[in-house]
Amino acid sequence: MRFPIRAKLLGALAIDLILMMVLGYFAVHQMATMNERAVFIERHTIPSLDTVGDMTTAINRYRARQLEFLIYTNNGDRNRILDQMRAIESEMSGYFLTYRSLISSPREQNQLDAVEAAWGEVVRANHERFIPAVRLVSDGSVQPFYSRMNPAYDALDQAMAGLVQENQRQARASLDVVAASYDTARTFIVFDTVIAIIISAAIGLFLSARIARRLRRLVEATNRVSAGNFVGSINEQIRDEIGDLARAFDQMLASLRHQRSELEDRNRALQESLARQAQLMEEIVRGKQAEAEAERARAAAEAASQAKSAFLATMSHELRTPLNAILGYAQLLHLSKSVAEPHAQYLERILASGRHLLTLISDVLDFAKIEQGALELEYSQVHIPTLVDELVAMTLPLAQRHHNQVQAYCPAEIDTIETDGRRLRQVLINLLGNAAKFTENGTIRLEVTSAKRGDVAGIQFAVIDTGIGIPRDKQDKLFQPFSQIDSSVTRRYEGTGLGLALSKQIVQALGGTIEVESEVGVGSTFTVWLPTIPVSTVASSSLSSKLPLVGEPA
Amino acid sequence: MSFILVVDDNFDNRNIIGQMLSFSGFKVELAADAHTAIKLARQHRPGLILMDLSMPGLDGWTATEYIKRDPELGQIPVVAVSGHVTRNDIERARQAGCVEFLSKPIEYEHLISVARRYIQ
Repeated sequence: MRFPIRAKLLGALAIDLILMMVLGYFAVHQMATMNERAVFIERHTIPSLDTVGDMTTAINRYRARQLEFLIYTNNGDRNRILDQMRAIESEMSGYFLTYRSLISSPREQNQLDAVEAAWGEVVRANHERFIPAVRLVSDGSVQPFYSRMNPAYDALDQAMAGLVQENQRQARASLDVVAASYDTARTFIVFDTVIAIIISAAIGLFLSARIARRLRRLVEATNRVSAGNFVGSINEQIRDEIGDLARAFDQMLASLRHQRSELEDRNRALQESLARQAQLMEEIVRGKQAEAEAERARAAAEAASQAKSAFLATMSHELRTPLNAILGYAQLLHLSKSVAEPHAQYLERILASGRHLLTLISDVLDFAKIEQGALELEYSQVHIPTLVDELVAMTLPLAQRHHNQVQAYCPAEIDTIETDGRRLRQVLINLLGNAAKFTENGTIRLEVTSAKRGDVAGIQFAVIDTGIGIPRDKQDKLFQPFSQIDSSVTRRYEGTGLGLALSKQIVQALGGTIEVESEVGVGSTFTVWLPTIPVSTVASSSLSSKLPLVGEPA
Repeated sequence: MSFILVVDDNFDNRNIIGQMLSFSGFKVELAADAHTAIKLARQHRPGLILMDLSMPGLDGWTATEYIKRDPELGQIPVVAVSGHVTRNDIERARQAGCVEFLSKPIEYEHLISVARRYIQ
């Protein structure tokens, strides 16, 4: 059941109001009673007593007329007095009539009847005995007649006194009632007021104490909350405004608790996230440092590599300059034919050794480049039939020296491929040169064919000789640096020992393969396969095609 | 028949190239530095210049560039002759205006075939 504070206060007020109304009603009632009594006294007692007074006067005048009737002896005066007597009698009848309308009790009626009867006796005694007796007496001895009237008058006086008494009694009764009413009203008003004050005070004190206590609990709870303590609740059971407030407060508290726990959760999550971020940052920083270190290392490596490249270039140039003089003058001597045998053969040996040295220098340079990953590839459109013609032309002198035939096979559909022409040429010159060196009285054949490896279109160059062949157990060492089958071969056939290793590196760099098939005493076949779709699209400067390298040794 | 101007700071190189060309019947003028070469070229108008690249003072790349920009000498073909055989060196020679590149040591047959391409 819900009782708002306003209802409670209104209830207290209503109790007071009811008490006031009862009080008012009772006061009005008492006042009405008093008024009624006052009106009674005014309308009844006072006119009654006035009438009684008039009647007394009239009775005294009547008695005075009787005395006059005794005194005056002539008939004229006596008749006039008699008329006066009769007037008083009718006056009295009027008074009785008046009084009858004022009668308020049977007792008064009885008293009035007694007065009227006594008056009637006086009048009858006057007319029947006094007046006739006086008329009969002519002398002045009428005194006894007058005395004989006394009993009647005494009775009348007695009756009148009774009536007055009755009136007085009535007036006293009315005044008593008024006094009683006043007493009652006063007592009631005092009592009622005291009760009202007590009830109001009690209710007020009770309510205010209660409200104050409940508000205090709220304030305490608020202080707790403001101090950061969200635990507990007010648990107000009474359903009114403060109850509502307390419940709202409890809800707020619950909400605060919930929000705080949520906040704490979020804070925790945030801190974890921050920690993770910090960790991440640290990792990034570490990564950056590692990156920077790697960059420094790379830069250092690059600088070292560049220094090495510069050194190799310089070395190459410095070696070539004296070699140029040696080979140049040897060629000039050879051209002049001024050197006679056996010295002409020595000259040949000088030229051959010089050229060999040059090849060595070139190969060492290339190999060093490959070792440091500095081999630059330059892709361009290479016309294969032209290349084949050039290769045959270059191979011919050496091949013919050993009495070999040179054959080339290049079908019409072979045209242009995109590759590093200079490097391909270097590889094929090396293979053809080897074939020419290791074959005597035989055939050296270059076969070019289209060949797919898996899904990749490609071109295949096969260098086939009928030379000394390579033992099976040596074949897998063939492409390793400085692995010519034995030093005697090196001495006899003039190889750097780098040629095949270099060729394999170059072919691999071009995305292709190099293989060997050989049988001792039958011959060897070296097969180079290159993809016709380039593995990488290195920008072509087409330098080699515009500026052919004349005199570049094999 | 017009002559060939051989420019090289190294006596042996200059001498060998000159002797080889003379042996094959070409007329030859020799210059030990690029300044002398340009002066000779202006005076005698060679049919071909064989230019060493790495020389003290005015180097072969710069000299070739100068010759190629000169309205009178621009038409003379210049062939680079060098022991510098890296791609970078060759590319620089091409950009300077050299039509061909001859690597040292010089092979007689190659030298003569190149010379024949420009001098009839």
